Amino acid sequence: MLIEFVLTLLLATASVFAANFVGVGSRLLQLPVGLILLIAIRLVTYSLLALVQLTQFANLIFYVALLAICGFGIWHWRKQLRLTDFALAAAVSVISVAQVWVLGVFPPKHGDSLYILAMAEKLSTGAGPAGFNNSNAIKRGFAYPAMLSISEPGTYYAAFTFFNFACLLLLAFWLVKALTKTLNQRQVTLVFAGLTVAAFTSAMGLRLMVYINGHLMFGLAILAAVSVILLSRQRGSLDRAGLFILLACQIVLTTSRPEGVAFAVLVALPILEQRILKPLLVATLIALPMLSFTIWLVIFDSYLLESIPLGAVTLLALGVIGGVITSLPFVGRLLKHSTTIAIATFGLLLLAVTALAPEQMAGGFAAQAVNLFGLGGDWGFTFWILLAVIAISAGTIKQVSELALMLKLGLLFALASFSSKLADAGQSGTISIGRVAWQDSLNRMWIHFVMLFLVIAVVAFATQLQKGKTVSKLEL
Amino acid sequence: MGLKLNLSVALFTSACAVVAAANMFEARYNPPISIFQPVQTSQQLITEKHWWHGAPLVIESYFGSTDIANLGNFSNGGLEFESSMLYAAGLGELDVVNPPLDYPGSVIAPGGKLQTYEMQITCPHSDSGMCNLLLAYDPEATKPSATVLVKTGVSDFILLDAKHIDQLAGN
Repeated sequence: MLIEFVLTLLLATASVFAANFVGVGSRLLQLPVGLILLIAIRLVTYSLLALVQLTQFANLIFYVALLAICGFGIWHWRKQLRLTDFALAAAVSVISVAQVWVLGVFPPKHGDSLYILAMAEKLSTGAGPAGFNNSNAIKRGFAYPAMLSISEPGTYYAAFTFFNFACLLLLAFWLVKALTKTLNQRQVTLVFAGLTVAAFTSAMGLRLMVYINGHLMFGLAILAAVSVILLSRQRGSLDRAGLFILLACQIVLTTSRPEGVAFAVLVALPILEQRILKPLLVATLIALPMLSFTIWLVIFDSYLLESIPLGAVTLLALGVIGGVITSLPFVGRLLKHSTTIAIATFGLLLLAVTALAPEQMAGGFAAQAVNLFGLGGDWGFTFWILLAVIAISAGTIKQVSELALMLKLGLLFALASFSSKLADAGQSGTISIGRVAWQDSLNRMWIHFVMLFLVIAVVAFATQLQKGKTVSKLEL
Repeated sequence: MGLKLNLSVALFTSACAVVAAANMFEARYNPPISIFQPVQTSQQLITEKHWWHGAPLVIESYFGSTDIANLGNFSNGGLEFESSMLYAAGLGELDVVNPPLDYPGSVIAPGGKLQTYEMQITCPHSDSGMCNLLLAYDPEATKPSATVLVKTGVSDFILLDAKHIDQLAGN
């Protein structure tokens, strides 16, 4: 327990400093943004070491990186530092460690979780990832086991999952507060607290806080990317902090889930369609997901590469060519409505498959309806209340462009999730979008977006309640 | 105006509290989180076995007589696996070339009679030709008392008796 506490405190403190380095001043935001940056650092350092088969030093190097960030931060801000700057980080660390090691709250057993634990424990020994070359390993992702493995050899970092949840909650609270600065903050906080309690008291809502899987990490990166999108829309530019956060989100998204590479590109679209970036940055936002994905497959010695002619070279070439083409001026003009086009594409794909296999698709849609609204997926009444509040506040959402954009992104992510589920089932030659069960992968994918819908509901309802017609400008 | 606003917020939070109560009432039938003494079970119990590509995996004396009695609690003489009984992960794509009876999902013949069987396991995606399998068992599992689930491929499972892990051929 003591080792996990020290590790969590170190991770939390380094998160605060890392966020400060990129220019994030908000205390609520520092912990979640810093964590995303540190996960990206862990993935990059681990991958580089795996490429030269030196993974036995991966944990040591990550600890040194954390200490170096803290050390440099203390030296750099030595005159401004106050202990209260780290009060939140310390509190989150204590709660995260205590919930597992004092209260003994352990996650539900699930086949995926067990596989991830086995991976994490193996990685923690420094053995390297090359043995995890089957489809199961790829489906379970790389980022989350890599973070769980920053533990003592042969164990996993048990407090990390709740720490991740706490960061997601802080990020959502920051976004709500930042968008409602002009409103009565006491009332906004009450609305946020009420809806959070209502949403996260269902079996799934409680389970996701400690559930061993990459969903929470994916959800954290999704909400952070949405925040950057809103920031860039409001300012008409993307500053250094926003860019760093977005790039880190892309790395985390790509390596958290097999469909993450597509989501990493999707979160870049709303920014690309603004045409505010230089060509090199445009190319980077398109190429980085493919680069991250390829490195993941290479270091895992994945069988997927065997099924692609020239393997990694082809994937890398696709990323680079895609990036270069996207950065061309005339293509940039075509990207103007890319988010809408992406929504239409996923929608048409689902319609086409429904036309081809109406029975399977109808069954799948019915299963998802039962999962979300019929208690089949253990979500209780979470989506009922979120939907009800969003429906009540529909007038405000329509008027406020930021809320409309967030809802549009929620729709995009939902349709993309349906499509990725189709692709997953398609690998085994079947057409399916899920079944009635909490373990159903599409049912679990709602963990990625539930916090986004909660933020939309709270901001829209609070704004409507106080007769607001706009939201505040975001400041990091 | 202020009073009306406060009233609206109070009504909203009350509605949220009602939903939370309904959620928790519904969740009590399906406890989402196991609360027990913190132990890192997989760390304590996990073991690692290797065998070479194509080597037969022979499992004998599948369950002892005591365990047969336990198996009586399972329906239709077959053994349905549940994720709550598992603590194992197959590393390396495993194909069962010579599947046992009632495979997948059940390795016990109808009537619950034990079988001795042999199966051939290959690892088509392993460059080294060596299959790598992590085995462990879950001490929380209720029935049978000591079982191990071995994952063979993407979605199929076979139950092994933990007592006989060491009898895996080709270690």
